[in-house]
Amino acid sequence: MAWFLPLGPPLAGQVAGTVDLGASVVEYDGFLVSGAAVFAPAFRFDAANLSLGTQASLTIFESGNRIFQATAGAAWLTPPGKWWLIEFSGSIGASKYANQTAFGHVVGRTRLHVLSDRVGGWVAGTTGGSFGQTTSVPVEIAVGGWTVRDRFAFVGTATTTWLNDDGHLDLLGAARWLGDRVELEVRAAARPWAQSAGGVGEARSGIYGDVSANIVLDERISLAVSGGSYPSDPVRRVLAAKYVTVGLRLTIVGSESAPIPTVAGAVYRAARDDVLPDRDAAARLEVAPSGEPRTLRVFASQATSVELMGDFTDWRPVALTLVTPTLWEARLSVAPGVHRVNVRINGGAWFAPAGTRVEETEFGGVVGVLVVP
Amino acid sequence: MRVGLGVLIVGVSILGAPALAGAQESRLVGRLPDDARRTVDSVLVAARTSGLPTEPLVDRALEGAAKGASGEVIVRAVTRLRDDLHLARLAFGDLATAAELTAGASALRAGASREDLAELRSLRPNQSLTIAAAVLADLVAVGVPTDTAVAAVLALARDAEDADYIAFRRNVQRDIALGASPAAALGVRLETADDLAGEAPTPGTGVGTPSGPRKRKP
Repeated sequence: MAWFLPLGPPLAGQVAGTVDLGASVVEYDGFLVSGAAVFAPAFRFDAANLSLGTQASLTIFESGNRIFQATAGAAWLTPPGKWWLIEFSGSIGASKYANQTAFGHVVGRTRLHVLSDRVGGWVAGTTGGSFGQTTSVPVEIAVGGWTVRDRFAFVGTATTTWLNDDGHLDLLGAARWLGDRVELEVRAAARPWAQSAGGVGEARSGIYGDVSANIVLDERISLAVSGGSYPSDPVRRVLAAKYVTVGLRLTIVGSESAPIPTVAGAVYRAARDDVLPDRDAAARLEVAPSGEPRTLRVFASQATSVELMGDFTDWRPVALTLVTPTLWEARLSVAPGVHRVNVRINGGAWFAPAGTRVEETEFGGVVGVLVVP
Repeated sequence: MRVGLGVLIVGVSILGAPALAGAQESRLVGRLPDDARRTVDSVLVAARTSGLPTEPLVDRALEGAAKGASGEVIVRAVTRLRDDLHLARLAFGDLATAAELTAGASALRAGASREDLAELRSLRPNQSLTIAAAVLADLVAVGVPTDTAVAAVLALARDAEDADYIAFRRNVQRDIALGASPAAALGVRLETADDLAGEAPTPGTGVGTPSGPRKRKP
Protein backbone atom coordinates (compact mmCIF):
# COMPACT_ATOMS: atom_id res chain seq x y z
CA MET A 1 0.00 0.00 0.00
CA ALA A 2 1.00 3.53 -0.56
CA TRP A 3 1.84 4.18 3.07
CA PHE A 4 4.56 1.59 3.04
CA LEU A 5 6.36 2.97 0.04
CA PRO A 6 8.04 6.23 0.92
CA LEU A 7 10.93 5.13 3.08
CA GLY A 8 14.16 3.74 1.75
CA PRO A 9 17.03 2.27 3.73
CA PRO A 10 20.21 4.11 4.74
CA LEU A 11 22.07 2.06 2.26
CA ALA A 12 20.78 0.61 -1.03
CA GLY A 13 22.13 -2.75 -2.13
CA GLN A 14 22.16 -4.19 -5.60
CA VAL A 15 19.61 -6.85 -4.72
CA ALA A 16 17.07 -6.56 -1.94
CA GLY A 17 14.02 -8.62 -1.13
CA THR A 18 11.81 -7.69 1.79
CA VAL A 19 8.51 -8.49 3.42
CA ASP A 20 6.53 -5.86 5.31
CA LEU A 21 4.15 -6.93 8.05
CA GLY A 22 2.09 -4.12 9.46
CA ALA A 23 -1.02 -2.92 11.19
CA SER A 24 -2.85 0.23 10.14
CA VAL A 25 -5.72 2.42 11.13
CA VAL A 26 -6.98 4.14 8.00
CA GLU A 27 -9.82 6.40 6.95
CA TYR A 28 -10.26 6.37 3.21
CA ASP A 29 -12.16 9.14 1.50
CA GLY A 30 -15.82 8.08 1.64
CA PHE A 31 -15.34 5.32 4.24
CA LEU A 32 -15.31 5.00 8.01
CA VAL A 33 -12.16 4.49 10.00
CA SER A 34 -11.01 0.88 9.96
CA GLY A 35 -8.19 -1.25 11.22
CA ALA A 36 -6.24 -3.27 8.69
CA ALA A 37 -3.46 -5.81 8.51
CA VAL A 38 -0.93 -5.49 5.72
CA PHE A 39 1.36 -8.07 4.12
CA ALA A 40 3.66 -6.61 1.46
CA PRO A 41 6.59 -8.40 -0.20
CA ALA A 42 8.95 -6.45 -2.47
CA PHE A 43 12.01 -7.17 -4.56
CA ARG A 44 14.50 -4.75 -6.05
CA PHE A 45 17.52 -4.97 -8.30
CA ASP A 46 19.94 -2.09 -8.93
CA ALA A 47 22.66 -2.03 -11.54
CA ALA A 48 24.83 0.92 -12.47
CA ASN A 49 22.22 2.75 -14.53
CA LEU A 50 19.26 0.40 -14.25
CA SER A 51 16.77 -0.27 -11.48
CA LEU A 52 14.07 -2.93 -11.51
CA GLY A 53 11.51 -3.55 -8.84
CA THR A 54 8.31 -5.32 -7.99
CA GLN A 55 6.04 -4.79 -5.03
CA ALA A 56 2.75 -6.29 -3.96
CA SER A 57 0.48 -5.94 -0.97
CA LEU A 58 -2.50 -7.65 0.56
CA THR A 59 -4.55 -5.54 2.97
CA ILE A 60 -7.26 -7.16 5.08
CA PHE A 61 -9.76 -4.80 6.74
CA GLU A 62 -11.88 -5.29 9.84
CA SER A 63 -14.85 -6.09 7.64
CA GLY A 64 -12.98 -8.97 6.05
CA ASN A 65 -12.78 -7.12 2.72
CA ARG A 66 -9.41 -7.17 1.05
CA ILE A 67 -7.35 -5.11 -1.37
CA PHE A 68 -4.73 -6.82 -3.47
CA GLN A 69 -2.31 -4.56 -5.29
CA ALA A 70 0.82 -5.25 -7.34
CA THR A 71 3.25 -2.98 -9.18
CA ALA A 72 6.34 -3.56 -11.28
CA GLY A 73 8.64 -0.83 -12.51
CA ALA A 74 11.94 -0.06 -14.14
CA ALA A 75 14.13 3.02 -14.50
CA TRP A 76 17.10 3.56 -16.76
CA LEU A 77 19.54 6.47 -16.63
CA THR A 78 21.59 7.67 -19.57
CA PRO A 79 25.32 8.10 -18.91
CA PRO A 80 25.65 11.46 -17.18
CA GLY A 81 26.64 14.54 -19.14
CA LYS A 82 28.61 17.30 -17.48
CA TRP A 83 25.55 18.66 -15.69
CA TRP A 84 22.59 16.66 -16.91
CA LEU A 85 21.20 13.18 -17.51
CA ILE A 86 17.97 11.68 -18.75
CA GLU A 87 15.90 9.07 -16.94
CA PHE A 88 13.39 6.80 -18.64
CA SER A 89 11.07 4.89 -16.36
CA GLY A 90 7.83 3.01 -16.47
CA SER A 91 5.48 1.10 -14.25
CA ILE A 92 2.60 -1.30 -14.59
CA GLY A 93 0.21 -2.01 -11.78
CA ALA A 94 -3.16 -3.46 -10.85
CA SER A 95 -5.43 -3.46 -7.82
CA LYS A 96 -8.56 -5.30 -6.81
CA TYR A 97 -10.84 -4.36 -3.88
CA ALA A 98 -13.48 -6.80 -2.61
CA ASN A 99 -15.80 -7.72 -5.49
CA GLN A 100 -15.41 -4.45 -7.34
CA THR A 101 -13.93 -3.99 -10.79
CA ALA A 102 -10.17 -4.31 -10.92
CA PHE A 103 -8.13 -1.24 -11.85
CA GLY A 104 -4.84 -1.04 -13.64
CA HIS A 105 -2.35 1.40 -15.06
CA VAL A 106 0.59 1.47 -17.45
CA VAL A 107 2.61 4.66 -17.47
CA GLY A 108 5.95 5.78 -18.84
CA ARG A 109 7.94 8.81 -17.80
CA THR A 110 10.88 10.77 -19.17
CA ARG A 111 12.80 13.15 -16.95
CA LEU A 112 15.60 15.54 -17.74
CA HIS A 113 17.78 16.06 -14.69
CA VAL A 114 20.10 18.98 -14.07
CA LEU A 115 22.70 18.10 -11.45
CA SER A 116 25.40 19.56 -9.31
CA ASP A 117 26.88 18.37 -6.04
CA ARG A 118 24.32 19.86 -3.68
CA VAL A 119 21.50 21.18 -5.85
CA GLY A 120 19.54 19.81 -8.77
CA GLY A 121 16.25 19.87 -10.57
CA TRP A 122 14.24 18.17 -13.24
CA VAL A 123 11.36 18.43 -15.68
CA ALA A 124 9.31 15.35 -16.46
CA GLY A 125 6.48 14.17 -18.65
CA THR A 126 4.36 11.08 -17.95
CA THR A 127 1.64 9.40 -19.95
CA GLY A 128 0.13 5.97 -20.53
CA GLY A 129 -3.20 4.35 -19.74
CA SER A 130 -5.48 4.01 -16.72
CA PHE A 131 -7.90 1.11 -16.88
CA GLY A 132 -11.04 0.16 -14.98
CA GLN A 133 -14.70 0.64 -15.82
CA THR A 134 -13.41 3.08 -18.42
CA THR A 135 -10.02 3.64 -20.05
CA SER A 136 -8.33 7.00 -19.77
CA VAL A 137 -5.08 8.51 -20.99
CA PRO A 138 -3.36 10.54 -18.28
CA VAL A 139 -0.84 13.28 -18.90
CA GLU A 140 1.41 14.56 -16.12
CA ILE A 141 3.89 17.41 -16.39
CA ALA A 142 6.17 17.94 -13.40
CA VAL A 143 9.04 20.15 -12.32
CA GLY A 144 11.10 19.58 -9.23
CA GLY A 145 14.15 20.67 -7.34
CA TRP A 146 16.27 19.27 -4.54
CA THR A 147 19.14 20.24 -2.35
CA VAL A 148 21.20 18.42 0.24
CA ARG A 149 22.74 19.89 3.39
CA ASP A 150 24.67 17.78 5.84
CA ARG A 151 22.30 14.92 6.69
CA PHE A 152 19.22 16.69 5.34
CA ALA A 153 17.70 16.50 1.90
CA PHE A 154 14.92 18.78 0.69
CA VAL A 155 12.76 18.11 -2.35
CA GLY A 156 10.03 20.25 -3.86
CA THR A 157 7.80 19.37 -6.82
CA ALA A 158 4.93 20.84 -8.76
CA THR A 159 2.85 18.42 -10.86
CA THR A 160 -0.12 19.11 -13.07
CA THR A 161 -2.20 16.11 -14.11
CA TRP A 162 -4.88 15.73 -16.71
CA LEU A 163 -7.19 12.72 -17.04
CA ASN A 164 -9.91 13.14 -19.65
CA ASP A 165 -11.63 16.41 -18.75
CA ASP A 166 -10.43 16.42 -15.13
CA GLY A 167 -7.25 18.03 -13.94
CA HIS A 168 -5.42 19.07 -10.80
CA LEU A 169 -2.24 20.69 -9.55
CA ASP A 170 -0.16 19.17 -6.75
CA LEU A 171 2.58 20.96 -4.80
CA LEU A 172 4.82 18.84 -2.60
CA GLY A 173 7.61 19.68 -0.20
CA ALA A 174 9.58 16.97 1.56
CA ALA A 175 12.43 17.00 4.04
CA ARG A 176 14.44 13.92 4.80
CA TRP A 177 16.94 13.37 7.61
CA LEU A 178 19.29 10.43 7.46
CA GLY A 179 20.83 9.17 10.69
CA ASP A 180 23.05 6.17 11.19
CA ARG A 181 20.16 3.87 11.96
CA VAL A 182 17.14 6.12 11.63
CA GLU A 183 15.62 7.84 8.66
CA LEU A 184 12.92 10.47 9.07
CA GLU A 185 10.82 12.10 6.41
CA VAL A 186 8.24 14.86 6.62
CA ARG A 187 6.08 15.70 3.65
CA ALA A 188 3.63 18.53 3.15
CA ALA A 189 1.39 18.63 0.11
CA ALA A 190 -1.21 20.99 -1.26
CA ARG A 191 -3.70 20.57 -4.07
CA PRO A 192 -4.64 24.21 -4.64
CA TRP A 193 -6.58 23.58 -7.83
CA ALA A 194 -8.73 20.67 -8.94
CA GLN A 195 -11.23 20.36 -11.75
CA SER A 196 -13.54 17.39 -11.29
CA ALA A 197 -17.06 16.41 -10.22
CA GLY A 198 -15.67 15.95 -6.72
CA GLY A 199 -16.73 12.34 -6.26
CA VAL A 200 -14.93 9.71 -4.22
CA GLY A 201 -11.54 9.01 -5.74
CA GLU A 202 -11.59 12.14 -7.87
CA ALA A 203 -9.29 15.09 -7.32
CA ARG A 204 -10.35 17.68 -4.77
CA SER A 205 -8.52 20.66 -3.38
CA GLY A 206 -6.95 20.24 0.02
CA ILE A 207 -3.93 20.22 2.28
CA TYR A 208 -2.13 17.02 3.18
CA GLY A 209 0.92 15.89 5.08
CA ASP A 210 2.52 12.92 6.73
CA VAL A 211 5.56 11.86 8.74
CA SER A 212 7.52 8.63 8.36
CA ALA A 213 10.30 7.00 10.33
CA ASN A 214 12.36 3.96 9.49
CA ILE A 215 14.40 2.56 12.36
CA VAL A 216 16.94 -0.16 11.74
CA LEU A 217 16.62 -2.66 14.59
CA ASP A 218 18.87 -5.34 13.26
CA GLU A 219 20.68 -6.26 10.08
CA ARG A 220 17.50 -7.81 8.73
CA ILE A 221 14.73 -6.11 10.65
CA SER A 222 13.62 -2.51 10.68
CA LEU A 223 10.64 -0.76 12.20
CA ALA A 224 8.56 1.52 9.97
CA VAL A 225 6.17 4.02 11.54
CA SER A 226 4.20 6.59 9.60
CA GLY A 227 1.06 8.62 9.78
CA GLY A 228 -0.79 11.53 8.23
CA SER A 229 -2.80 12.04 5.08
CA TYR A 230 -2.28 11.91 1.35
CA PRO A 231 -4.38 13.00 -1.64
CA SER A 232 -6.12 10.83 -4.18
CA ASP A 233 -4.30 9.66 -7.30
CA PRO A 234 -6.93 9.33 -10.04
CA VAL A 235 -4.36 7.94 -12.50
CA ARG A 236 -3.42 5.00 -10.30
CA ARG A 237 -6.86 4.83 -8.67
CA VAL A 238 -5.63 5.50 -5.15
CA LEU A 239 -8.17 6.99 -2.74
CA ALA A 240 -7.26 9.90 -0.49
CA ALA A 241 -6.79 8.76 3.10
CA LYS A 242 -5.74 9.57 6.62
CA TYR A 243 -3.74 6.84 8.26
CA VAL A 244 -1.31 5.67 10.87
CA THR A 245 0.63 2.48 10.47
CA VAL A 246 3.27 0.48 12.30
CA GLY A 247 5.13 -2.31 10.61
CA LEU A 248 8.18 -4.50 10.60
CA ARG A 249 10.29 -4.85 7.49
CA LEU A 250 12.07 -8.20 7.19
CA THR A 251 14.95 -8.49 4.74
CA ILE A 252 14.79 -11.84 2.99
CA VAL A 253 17.33 -11.33 0.20
CA GLY A 254 20.37 -9.08 0.33
CA SER A 255 21.45 -7.13 3.35
CA GLU A 256 19.22 -4.11 3.09
CA SER A 257 16.34 -3.34 5.34
CA ALA A 258 13.93 -2.01 2.77
CA PRO A 259 13.23 -1.60 -0.92
CA ILE A 260 13.04 1.74 -2.58
CA PRO A 261 9.78 2.59 -4.37
CA THR A 262 9.93 0.75 -7.65
CA VAL A 263 9.82 3.81 -9.87
CA ALA A 264 11.44 6.26 -7.50
CA GLY A 265 13.31 8.90 -9.44
CA ALA A 266 17.05 8.93 -9.68
CA VAL A 267 17.19 12.40 -8.25
CA TYR A 268 15.23 11.43 -5.19
CA ARG A 269 17.69 8.62 -4.65
CA ALA A 270 20.55 10.98 -5.29
CA ALA A 271 19.13 13.35 -2.72
CA ARG A 272 19.02 10.54 -0.22
CA ASP A 273 22.40 9.14 -1.15
CA ASP A 274 24.22 12.43 -0.90
CA VAL A 275 23.13 13.51 2.54
CA LEU A 276 26.58 13.51 4.03
CA PRO A 277 29.02 16.27 4.91
CA ASP A 278 32.38 16.86 3.25
CA ARG A 279 30.84 17.02 -0.19
CA ASP A 280 33.65 19.34 -1.18
CA ALA A 281 36.14 16.54 -0.73
CA ALA A 282 37.30 14.58 -3.75
CA ALA A 283 35.68 11.49 -2.31
CA ARG A 284 33.95 10.42 0.86
CA LEU A 285 33.94 6.86 2.17
CA GLU A 286 31.11 5.34 4.16
CA VAL A 287 30.89 1.78 5.48
CA ALA A 288 27.59 0.14 6.32
CA PRO A 289 27.22 -0.13 10.10
CA SER A 290 26.32 -3.82 9.85
CA GLY A 291 26.13 -6.73 7.46
CA GLU A 292 28.54 -9.28 6.13
CA PRO A 293 29.80 -8.55 3.61
CA ARG A 294 29.45 -4.84 4.21
CA THR A 295 28.55 -2.22 1.65
CA LEU A 296 31.29 0.36 1.14
CA ARG A 297 30.22 3.51 -0.61
CA VAL A 298 32.34 6.25 -2.07
CA PHE A 299 30.72 9.56 -2.99
CA ALA A 300 32.73 11.14 -5.81
CA SER A 301 31.29 13.75 -8.10
CA GLN A 302 33.84 13.86 -10.90
CA ALA A 303 34.80 10.21 -11.30
CA THR A 304 34.85 7.82 -14.20
CA SER A 305 36.43 5.10 -12.07
CA VAL A 306 36.87 4.61 -8.33
CA GLU A 307 39.16 2.06 -6.70
CA LEU A 308 39.78 1.22 -3.08
CA MET A 309 42.45 -0.78 -1.28
CA GLY A 310 42.99 -1.49 2.38
CA ASP A 311 43.97 -4.10 4.89
CA PHE A 312 40.65 -5.84 4.26
CA THR A 313 41.59 -6.30 0.58
CA ASP A 314 45.15 -7.42 1.41
CA TRP A 315 46.10 -4.06 -0.08
CA ARG A 316 45.04 -5.07 -3.56
CA PRO A 317 42.94 -2.54 -5.53
CA VAL A 318 39.22 -3.26 -5.84
CA ALA A 319 37.15 -1.46 -8.46
CA LEU A 320 33.85 -0.01 -7.21
CA THR A 321 30.59 -0.13 -9.16
CA LEU A 322 28.77 3.01 -10.25
CA VAL A 323 25.33 3.24 -8.63
CA THR A 324 24.30 6.82 -9.26
CA PRO A 325 26.25 9.60 -10.99
CA THR A 326 28.04 10.39 -7.73
CA LEU A 327 27.87 7.13 -5.81
CA TRP A 328 30.15 4.09 -6.12
CA GLU A 329 29.79 0.87 -4.17
CA ALA A 330 31.49 -2.42 -3.37
CA ARG A 331 30.52 -5.22 -1.05
CA LEU A 332 33.49 -6.52 0.93
CA SER A 333 34.18 -8.48 4.06
CA VAL A 334 35.27 -5.95 6.71
CA ALA A 335 35.55 -7.13 10.29
CA PRO A 336 34.79 -4.78 13.19
CA GLY A 337 37.87 -2.89 14.29
CA VAL A 338 40.34 -0.32 13.05
CA HIS A 339 41.23 -0.45 9.37
CA ARG A 340 43.47 1.43 6.98
CA VAL A 341 42.27 2.32 3.52
CA ASN A 342 43.13 4.38 0.46
CA VAL A 343 41.02 5.45 -2.51
CA ARG A 344 41.93 6.64 -5.96
CA ILE A 345 39.84 8.25 -8.65
CA ASN A 346 40.29 7.93 -12.38
CA GLY A 347 43.54 6.00 -11.88
CA GLY A 348 45.20 8.90 -10.07
CA ALA A 349 47.18 8.95 -6.83
CA TRP A 350 45.99 7.05 -3.76
CA PHE A 351 44.62 9.30 -1.02
CA ALA A 352 42.74 9.15 2.27
CA PRO A 353 39.03 9.69 1.61
CA ALA A 354 36.90 12.00 3.68
CA GLY A 355 35.16 10.09 6.43
CA THR A 356 38.44 8.62 7.66
CA ARG A 357 41.18 9.85 9.95
CA VAL A 358 44.13 10.95 7.84
CA GLU A 359 47.44 9.53 9.05
CA GLU A 360 50.89 10.04 7.64
CA THR A 361 52.57 6.76 6.78
CA GLU A 362 56.16 5.60 6.78
CA PHE A 363 55.70 4.81 3.10
CA GLY A 364 55.14 8.39 2.00
CA GLY A 365 51.73 9.92 1.56
CA VAL A 366 48.75 9.31 3.79
CA VAL A 367 46.31 6.58 4.71
CA GLY A 368 42.73 6.81 5.93
CA VAL A 369 42.08 5.16 9.29
CA LEU A 370 38.58 3.85 9.66
CA VAL A 371 36.74 2.55 12.72
CA VAL A 372 34.19 -0.14 11.92
CA PRO A 373 31.90 -0.85 14.90
CA MET B 1 54.56 -40.62 33.85
CA ARG B 2 55.54 -37.13 34.93
CA VAL B 3 58.98 -37.61 33.37
CA GLY B 4 57.43 -38.88 30.18
CA LEU B 5 55.29 -35.75 29.77
CA GLY B 6 58.26 -33.51 30.34
CA VAL B 7 60.22 -35.28 27.67
CA LEU B 8 57.31 -35.01 25.33
CA ILE B 9 56.95 -31.25 25.90
CA VAL B 10 60.66 -30.65 25.45
CA GLY B 11 60.58 -32.74 22.33
CA VAL B 12 57.75 -30.73 20.84
CA SER B 13 59.54 -27.51 21.66
CA ILE B 14 62.72 -28.66 20.03
CA LEU B 15 60.91 -29.90 16.99
CA GLY B 16 58.68 -26.84 16.80
CA ALA B 17 61.22 -24.07 16.99
CA PRO B 18 62.90 -24.64 13.64
CA ALA B 19 59.51 -24.97 11.99
CA LEU B 20 58.43 -21.60 13.38
CA ALA B 21 61.70 -19.98 12.46
CA GLY B 22 61.32 -21.09 8.90
CA ALA B 23 57.60 -20.22 8.69
CA GLN B 24 56.61 -18.06 5.77
CA GLU B 25 53.62 -15.78 5.58
CA SER B 26 52.27 -16.84 2.21
CA ARG B 27 50.64 -13.48 1.47
CA LEU B 28 54.02 -11.79 1.51
CA VAL B 29 55.54 -14.11 -1.08
CA GLY B 30 55.98 -12.29 -4.35
CA ARG B 31 54.97 -8.94 -2.90
CA LEU B 32 58.03 -8.07 -0.82
CA PRO B 33 61.69 -8.27 -1.83
CA ASP B 34 63.07 -11.60 -0.59
CA ASP B 35 65.41 -10.06 1.97
CA ALA B 36 62.68 -7.89 3.45
CA ARG B 37 60.22 -10.78 3.43
CA ARG B 38 62.61 -12.97 5.40
CA THR B 39 63.14 -10.22 7.95
CA VAL B 40 59.42 -9.59 8.27
CA ASP B 41 58.84 -13.32 8.65
CA SER B 42 61.26 -13.37 11.56
CA VAL B 43 59.43 -10.42 13.15
CA LEU B 44 56.19 -12.33 12.74
CA VAL B 45 57.64 -15.44 14.37
CA ALA B 46 58.87 -13.41 17.32
CA ALA B 47 55.54 -11.63 17.64
CA ARG B 48 53.64 -14.89 17.52
CA THR B 49 55.92 -16.39 20.14
CA SER B 50 55.32 -13.47 22.47
CA GLY B 51 51.58 -13.62 21.94
CA LEU B 52 51.19 -10.53 19.79
CA PRO B 53 48.77 -10.58 16.86
CA THR B 54 50.55 -10.95 13.55
CA GLU B 55 47.73 -9.94 11.25
CA PRO B 56 48.29 -6.18 11.71
CA LEU B 57 51.98 -6.69 10.97
CA VAL B 58 51.27 -8.58 7.77
CA ASP B 59 48.81 -5.88 6.78
CA ARG B 60 51.38 -3.17 7.36
CA ALA B 61 53.93 -5.01 5.22
CA LEU B 62 51.39 -5.45 2.44
CA GLU B 63 50.50 -1.77 2.64
CA GLY B 64 54.11 -0.84 2.16
CA ALA B 65 54.45 -3.23 -0.75
CA ALA B 66 51.31 -1.86 -2.40
CA LYS B 67 52.69 1.66 -2.09
CA GLY B 68 56.04 0.77 -3.58
CA ALA B 69 58.09 1.28 -0.42
CA SER B 70 61.57 -0.19 -0.20
CA GLY B 71 62.19 -3.34 1.80
CA GLU B 72 64.09 -1.36 4.40
CA VAL B 73 61.21 1.05 4.95
CA ILE B 74 58.72 -1.80 5.16
CA VAL B 75 60.77 -3.62 7.79
CA ARG B 76 61.09 -0.43 9.80
CA ALA B 77 57.36 0.18 9.68
CA VAL B 78 56.53 -3.39 10.68
CA THR B 79 59.00 -3.29 13.56
CA ARG B 80 57.62 -0.01 14.83
CA LEU B 81 54.09 -1.34 14.75
CA ARG B 82 55.20 -4.44 16.63
CA ASP B 83 56.67 -2.20 19.33
CA ASP B 84 53.43 -0.19 19.52
CA LEU B 85 51.36 -3.36 19.77
CA HIS B 86 53.63 -4.54 22.57
CA LEU B 87 53.11 -1.28 24.48
CA ALA B 88 49.37 -1.47 23.92
CA ARG B 89 49.29 -4.97 25.31
CA LEU B 90 51.20 -3.91 28.37
CA ALA B 91 48.50 -1.32 28.94
CA PHE B 92 45.43 -3.35 27.96
CA GLY B 93 46.53 -6.70 29.36
CA ASP B 94 47.24 -10.12 27.96
CA LEU B 95 43.61 -10.78 27.11
CA ALA B 96 43.32 -7.80 24.77
CA THR B 97 42.11 -8.63 21.28
CA ALA B 98 43.98 -7.87 18.08
CA ALA B 99 41.47 -5.12 17.29
CA GLU B 100 41.99 -3.53 20.71
CA LEU B 101 45.75 -3.66 20.36
CA THR B 102 45.61 -2.16 16.88
CA ALA B 103 43.41 0.67 18.14
CA GLY B 104 45.69 1.11 21.14
CA ALA B 105 48.73 1.31 18.89
CA SER B 106 46.93 3.94 16.85
CA ALA B 107 46.20 5.95 20.01
CA LEU B 108 49.82 5.71 21.09
CA ARG B 109 50.88 6.97 17.69
CA ALA B 110 48.47 9.88 18.10
CA GLY B 111 50.11 10.89 21.36
CA ALA B 112 48.39 8.98 24.14
CA SER B 113 50.66 7.41 26.73
CA ARG B 114 50.78 3.85 27.92
CA GLU B 115 49.48 5.08 31.28
CA ASP B 116 46.48 6.69 29.56
CA LEU B 117 45.60 3.41 27.92
CA ALA B 118 46.06 1.52 31.16
CA GLU B 119 43.62 3.89 32.87
CA LEU B 120 41.15 3.36 30.05
CA ARG B 121 41.37 -0.37 30.69
CA SER B 122 40.83 0.08 34.39
CA LEU B 123 37.71 2.17 33.74
CA ARG B 124 36.34 -0.31 31.21
CA PRO B 125 37.49 -3.65 32.57
CA ASN B 126 34.87 -5.74 30.80
CA GLN B 127 34.18 -3.72 27.67
CA SER B 128 35.98 -3.58 24.37
CA LEU B 129 38.47 -0.76 24.14
CA THR B 130 38.67 -0.74 20.34
CA ILE B 131 36.25 2.11 19.69
CA ALA B 132 37.30 4.19 22.68
CA ALA B 133 40.96 4.05 21.72
CA ALA B 134 40.19 4.74 18.07
CA VAL B 135 38.04 7.73 18.98
CA LEU B 136 40.87 9.07 21.09
CA ALA B 137 43.17 8.97 18.07
CA ASP B 138 40.47 10.54 15.90
CA LEU B 139 39.99 13.44 18.30
CA VAL B 140 43.70 14.20 18.32
CA ALA B 141 43.73 14.02 14.53
CA VAL B 142 41.05 16.72 14.22
CA GLY B 143 43.05 19.08 16.39
CA VAL B 144 41.96 18.40 19.95
CA PRO B 145 45.01 18.69 22.23
CA THR B 146 46.16 15.23 23.25
CA ASP B 147 45.71 15.72 26.98
CA THR B 148 42.21 17.13 26.42
CA ALA B 149 41.25 14.24 24.17
CA VAL B 150 42.55 11.74 26.68
CA ALA B 151 40.62 13.42 29.47
CA ALA B 152 37.42 13.36 27.43
CA VAL B 153 37.71 9.71 26.48
CA LEU B 154 38.45 8.77 30.06
CA ALA B 155 35.56 10.88 31.33
CA LEU B 156 33.18 8.90 29.16
CA ALA B 157 34.82 5.56 29.79
CA ARG B 158 32.77 4.33 32.71
CA ASP B 159 29.28 4.73 31.26
CA ALA B 160 29.56 5.20 27.51
CA GLU B 161 28.76 2.46 25.02
CA ASP B 162 30.68 2.20 21.77
CA ALA B 163 27.80 3.89 19.96
CA ASP B 164 28.06 6.79 22.39
CA TYR B 165 31.73 7.23 21.59
CA ILE B 166 30.97 7.23 17.88
CA ALA B 167 28.18 9.78 18.31
CA PHE B 168 30.43 11.90 20.48
CA ARG B 169 33.19 11.91 17.89
CA ARG B 170 30.76 12.68 15.09
CA ASN B 171 29.30 15.63 16.95
CA VAL B 172 32.71 17.04 17.81
CA GLN B 173 33.81 16.74 14.20
CA ARG B 174 30.61 18.39 13.03
CA ASP B 175 31.06 21.30 15.43
CA ILE B 176 34.61 21.76 14.23
CA ALA B 177 33.44 21.72 10.63
CA LEU B 178 30.97 24.46 11.54
CA GLY B 179 33.75 26.62 12.87
CA ALA B 180 34.18 25.72 16.55
CA SER B 181 37.67 25.28 17.90
CA PRO B 182 38.48 21.61 18.57
CA ALA B 183 38.84 22.12 22.31
CA ALA B 184 35.61 24.14 22.55
CA ALA B 185 33.69 21.62 20.48
CA LEU B 186 34.86 18.82 22.69
CA GLY B 187 34.00 20.72 25.85
CA VAL B 188 30.50 21.53 24.65
CA ARG B 189 29.82 17.96 23.65
CA LEU B 190 31.10 16.63 26.93
CA GLU B 191 28.63 18.82 28.76
CA THR B 192 25.72 17.72 26.62
CA ALA B 193 24.57 14.44 28.04
CA ASP B 194 22.09 13.95 25.24
CA ASP B 195 24.90 13.50 22.78
CA LEU B 196 25.86 10.28 24.45
CA ALA B 197 22.54 8.78 23.54
CA GLY B 198 22.72 9.81 19.88
CA GLU B 199 19.83 11.37 18.06
CA ALA B 200 16.63 9.59 18.95
CA PRO B 201 13.86 9.28 16.38
CA THR B 202 10.44 10.82 16.87
CA PRO B 203 7.92 8.66 15.04
CA GLY B 204 4.89 10.45 13.71
CA THR B 205 1.42 9.84 15.08
CA GLY B 206 -2.10 10.77 14.21
CA VAL B 207 -5.32 8.90 13.49
CA GLY B 208 -8.16 10.03 11.31
CA THR B 209 -11.33 11.00 13.18
CA PRO B 210 -14.50 8.97 12.66
CA SER B 211 -16.79 10.26 9.97
CA GLY B 212 -20.56 10.53 9.59
CA PRO B 213 -23.05 7.66 9.47
CA ARG B 214 -23.44 7.66 5.68
CA LYS B 215 -20.08 5.99 5.42
CA ARG B 216 -19.15 2.34 5.95
CA LYS B 217 -15.97 0.51 6.81
CA PRO B 218 -13.90 -0.56 3.82
